[in-house]
Amino acid sequence: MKKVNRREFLQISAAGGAALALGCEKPPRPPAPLGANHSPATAPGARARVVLVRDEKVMDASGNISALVLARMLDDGVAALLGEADPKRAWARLLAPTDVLGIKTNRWKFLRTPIELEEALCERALAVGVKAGDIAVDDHGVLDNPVFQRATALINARPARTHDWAGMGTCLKNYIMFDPTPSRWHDDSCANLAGLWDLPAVKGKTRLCIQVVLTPLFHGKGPHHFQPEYTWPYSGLILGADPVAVDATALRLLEAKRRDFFSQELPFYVSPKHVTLAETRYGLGIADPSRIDVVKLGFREGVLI
Amino acid sequence: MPTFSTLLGVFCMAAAPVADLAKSLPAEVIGYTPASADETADRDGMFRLIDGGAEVYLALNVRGMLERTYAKKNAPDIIVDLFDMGSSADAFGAYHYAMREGRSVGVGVESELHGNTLAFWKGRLFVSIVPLRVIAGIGDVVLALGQSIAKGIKEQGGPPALVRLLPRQGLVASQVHYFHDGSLLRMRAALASVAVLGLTAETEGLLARYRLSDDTASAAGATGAALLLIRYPTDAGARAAFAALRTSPTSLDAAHTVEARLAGRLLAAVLDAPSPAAARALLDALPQEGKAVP
Repeated sequence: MKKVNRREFLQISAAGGAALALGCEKPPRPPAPLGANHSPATAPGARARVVLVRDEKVMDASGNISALVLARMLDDGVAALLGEADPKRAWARLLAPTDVLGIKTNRWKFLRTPIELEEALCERALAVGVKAGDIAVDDHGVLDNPVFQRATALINARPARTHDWAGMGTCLKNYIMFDPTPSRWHDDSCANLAGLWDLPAVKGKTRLCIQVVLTPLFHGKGPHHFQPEYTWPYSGLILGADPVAVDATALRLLEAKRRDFFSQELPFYVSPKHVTLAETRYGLGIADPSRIDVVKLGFREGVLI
Repeated sequence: MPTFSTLLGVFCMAAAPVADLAKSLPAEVIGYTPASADETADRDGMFRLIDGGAEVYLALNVRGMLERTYAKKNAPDIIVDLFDMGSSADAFGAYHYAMREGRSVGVGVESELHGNTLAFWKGRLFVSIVPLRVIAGIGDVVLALGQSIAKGIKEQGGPPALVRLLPRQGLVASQVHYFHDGSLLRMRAALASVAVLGLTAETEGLLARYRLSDDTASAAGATGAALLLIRYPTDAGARAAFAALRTSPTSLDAAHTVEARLAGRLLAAVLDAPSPAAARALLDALPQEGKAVP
């Protein structure tokens, strides 16, 4: 049996390589995965559940990430999301051994989904029993990635940040690479991004959405809309099954940080209206904060929301 | 005072291959050297290098871009982007798409050092310099890089001729936005629709914010307005937009009465004004040519 390290695994799986027999212990087949039909009820009275998990030890002073701590945050968050005491049981409810899993990451050079998080997600899928050859991590190449082409399940993980054209970089927006012509979603400050979730490659497949708020970007300008001065060590993850609720919660965090930093209500230069429209126009999920239950884990200092 | 006939020209520069942009870049600045081969993109490839912002430059006729990463041991990388906008008017537009409320540092024709990030334009080029992390002294390196790049750009260029029509009193200089079609205008003004204006790639416009004087500000405390200047390729195009605005005055801005005037190919309109009188006062401040039609 060939042993591979995590980075080798990521390289192989990202390229849609052959299955690797890693000898993972397979749990019993789980019940129907959460979010198999990703249409959270948006009827009056319906509520969404989101978990915010933070750990001040996830990064050192230089911003280096502790893979161990981040993985524990991920486990704690998923367990709290599903109301399970044991993270293994939670993951086993989220993914089935027969799943073909695409992990849609975001590799923006200025602020990417941490490799440590990609690795942790792969490890948990393997632990559930998903075959190594049935797991891929990708961003711009999802349409050409053979694993994504036959995916039965998606995990959507991206860093929270303000965005020059959409107002905010959201989980909603992270699926834009599933369209062969992403720019056709750019009109009216990307108002209709929720429509991406009806694409055949996406529809009904998302099991988990993660807004990475380790060092969120709350303001910016210029071609890349990135300035390191406008990031801060928040040391958190926001997780949920409802992409709209996850994005709305991350948006609330960025708004709170702007209020705190600028000592005034400073509207986004470009309105991230696509988050609200995802509820009001598309019924994809819940954007109204009063209908989102945020479960908070970890340290509370500077939590802002 | 300029006349319209003097305002028709733009500073167009000869096209050059995108790779030639590297000629403006220094080989070394304060120990920083290129980390890898430059990346270049034409219009179609810009989304590969820029997430989101590419639409801004595409709407301003960008021809291509070059990105170079500068590196130094134990220091954060610095990303330099050069955009060949084809004309200095569009280089001005690329720079002024953002709010420029930061410190001017005398690099190029106009520049802003915002935190440790530098943006400037000169000739037909718009330049952005961004460090990936903040460490002591990084702003000095960014500034030195910018100065060196600006020195390597031989053309000077000038702002769009329309800028010279803007009344100076009350002008918020950090918020003068240049555009052609409606995509950028919609990003900088809360408008019901821009369809009524009939904007195309051939139109040229400015959206400029103003602070109103006390006597024209509203009793409710509204103290601002926006002046829209649009030059159409033909008189007929300007007339059609003017007529459409008169027929349906709320089609552009549902919340405010839009006052507009027409002068040949030029349409002037005031948005967001607290009162029609305040809007008219701003229009009255235009040069004589901008007031031809009451």
